[in-house]
Amino acid sequence: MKTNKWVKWVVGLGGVTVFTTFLQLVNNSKTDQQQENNSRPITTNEITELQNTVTDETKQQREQQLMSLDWEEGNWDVQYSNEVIIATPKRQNSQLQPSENRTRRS
Amino acid sequence: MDEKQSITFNGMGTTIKVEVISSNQSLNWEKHIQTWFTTFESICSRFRHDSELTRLNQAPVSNVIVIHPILYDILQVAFQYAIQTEFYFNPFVGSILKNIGYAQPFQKQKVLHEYQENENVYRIPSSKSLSFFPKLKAVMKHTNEEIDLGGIGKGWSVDKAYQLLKELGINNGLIDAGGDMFIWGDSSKRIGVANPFAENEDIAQFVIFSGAVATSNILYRSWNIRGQTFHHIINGRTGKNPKSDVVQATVFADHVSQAEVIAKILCMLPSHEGIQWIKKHFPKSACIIVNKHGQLLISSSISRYIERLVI
Repeated sequence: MKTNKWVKWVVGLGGVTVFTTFLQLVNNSKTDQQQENNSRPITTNEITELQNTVTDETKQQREQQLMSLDWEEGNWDVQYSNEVIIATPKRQNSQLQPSENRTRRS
Repeated sequence: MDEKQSITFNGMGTTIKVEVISSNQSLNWEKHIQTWFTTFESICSRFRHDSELTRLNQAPVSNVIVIHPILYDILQVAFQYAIQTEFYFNPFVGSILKNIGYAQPFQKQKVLHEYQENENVYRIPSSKSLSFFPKLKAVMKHTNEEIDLGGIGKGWSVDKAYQLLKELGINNGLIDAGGDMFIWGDSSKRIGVANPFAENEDIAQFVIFSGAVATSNILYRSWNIRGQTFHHIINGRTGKNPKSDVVQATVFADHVSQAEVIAKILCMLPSHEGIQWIKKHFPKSACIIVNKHGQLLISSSISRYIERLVI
């Protein structure tokens, strides 16, 4: 009975020790990986990727703002950028009849 | 009950149309407005021999000249814009316009004078070209170049007409002086942008509640002398017609005078540069540029002014 009791203690303590060691090893491994990542210089590709993400977000915001104007663009090929919308006519003439109020050459 | 009232008359070499929505029928705003534009033209037109501006243009340099307060105020505004735009916009182009044949109102032009290029004489004005004496409402010229207030004058007179109507308690309306427009109030208006290649069509239309709009165009006021084409827009930094791919620029701003100045400058610059220029110098303004290929370049800031764009 006494032997069994001691065996159980040894096995229990050993198990806890092994488990703790295992956890420490895993943790150290993650820390090393993080340190490695922190110390590693960011590559050009990653910078470009980051810039693209930011630009894409800005562009999307801008496009959403512009699209909120609810415009009709049936006769035009339209390109968007952050600063300008460029509309190229698909046909020679626009089809819009003159409005009652118009701004024109002065 | 609110009612739409309107008036259309000729003035400043164009057709002026004013529409207001007001419940008050006894404001007599029509008379006020007509009197204002007539007075402004009689003071500030370079085509009238008896105008204050003609008197100023004929006055010698380095003399203190007391002028009408209206001319004083518009000159101050014009000169400030000239400095702000590094003289791309330049009110001292009267002599050059005369020299290239624009010596009478455009509608009355029958015979154009011979063009004699005189580029050696032209010097870009500076912030010292005109001195102001506020207490006297007087100015002193330091250059012989004549002053032309054509576009900015019309824009400024529309700004003042709007103030006049606001002071009368009119909170909803539209003033259109030959395409220079001020729109205000709580009801949206649909406005067309004339197609520079087909005057009877619109190239774009927009819906707007309030703001100032002006359009400049190099095609309409243009003429030929000995096979050479000239137009009324002069680059104030060179004293010459600009060479640009832009044929028309429509500008949105807080004031029509400002929109006029910017529209003129956008007709001087290559279209893509114009977009950058407006963003740098007048970031709150917006534009629709039409280039010679019929493309539209629309600044993203346009969403500040309009609710909807139809092209």
